[in-house]
Amino acid sequence: MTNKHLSETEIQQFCFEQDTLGNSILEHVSKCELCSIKISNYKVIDEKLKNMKKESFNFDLSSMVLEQISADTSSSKFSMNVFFSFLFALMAIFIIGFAGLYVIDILKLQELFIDAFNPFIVVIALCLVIILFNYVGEVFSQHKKLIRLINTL
Amino acid sequence: MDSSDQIFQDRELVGKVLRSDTNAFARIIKATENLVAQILFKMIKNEDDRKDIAQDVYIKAYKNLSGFKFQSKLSTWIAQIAYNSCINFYHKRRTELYDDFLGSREEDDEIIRNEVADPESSDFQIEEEIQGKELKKILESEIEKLNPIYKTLITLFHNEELSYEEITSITQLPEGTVKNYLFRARKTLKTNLLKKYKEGEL
Ligand SMILES: [Zn+2]
Repeated sequence: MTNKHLSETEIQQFCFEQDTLGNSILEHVSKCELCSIKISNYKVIDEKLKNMKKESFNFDLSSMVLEQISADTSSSKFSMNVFFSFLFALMAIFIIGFAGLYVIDILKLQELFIDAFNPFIVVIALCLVIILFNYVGEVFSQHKKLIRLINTL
Repeated sequence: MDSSDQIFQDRELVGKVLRSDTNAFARIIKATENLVAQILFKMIKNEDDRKDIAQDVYIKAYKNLSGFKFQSKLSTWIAQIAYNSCINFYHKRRTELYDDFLGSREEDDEIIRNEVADPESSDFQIEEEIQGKELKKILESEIEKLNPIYKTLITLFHNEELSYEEITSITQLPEGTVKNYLFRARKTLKTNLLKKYKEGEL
């Protein structure tokens, strides 16, 4: 056995990583009162720390997070909706507009259409109205959801 | 529960969440929020900040869940997000979390580490001298005085009883550094307790 007292590191190693120490150190501790006291002090501290009250949140974290996730999902759905209705409207403008021009040309109806009623302009105006309705509808339903959420809090 | 059972259960839960089962995510939150709380309470003083960070941690976890590779327990991975979020919080506030000790005074360390127990040392047997409740109270207040990272490491090791390996995963600090910080934190706690006794506060 070694006659040298343990260093602070060895004292802590003895308490918390005993398998890293050699036999001579273990033997010294078994015979040395001073080192034993130092070790027992760390053990007392360890024991107290183990039994210390664990912290916990005083709010319902899972509900808060799930609400946020569902709000994020619906807002990304909302922007996807706006994007798709815009894309759809653009395609409609071109298809119906060109079809309209073609029909006018075939049936020789040019004289019936003054400039303001050019089929392109008519379709654009219609699409804008549809997009606007869609947008107002979405905003309204989001607003209703929010009111419901506030009421449940 | 052994760790392969835990990973099996984690896989099942994560699979459900990825198939849009939000109840499964609620179960993940319930199963891990206590560990997250332990980290946040030690790292962040302000209650409102803690509340914001706690939500943020789980939103990040939800968004990145498909990237989780089961190399650790799910709770360890979420605790890692929590710890990182706290470190980022300090960075954003430009608070020098590290000032006190991360400029690592290696030479001090060496002195402490090689310090041989002094036969004349004032170490006395703590339990014999100090009543249990009193000691607990003093210890709690001494922990509060430690640097947030020390506090967190002490809590994870002693209170949560996590292994060095798990703590290393959570903090992304090298194992040697984790051991070194724990060493210094315990030594500070012990020294301050003995000092309090000498000053007659205990
Ligand atoms: Zn000795």
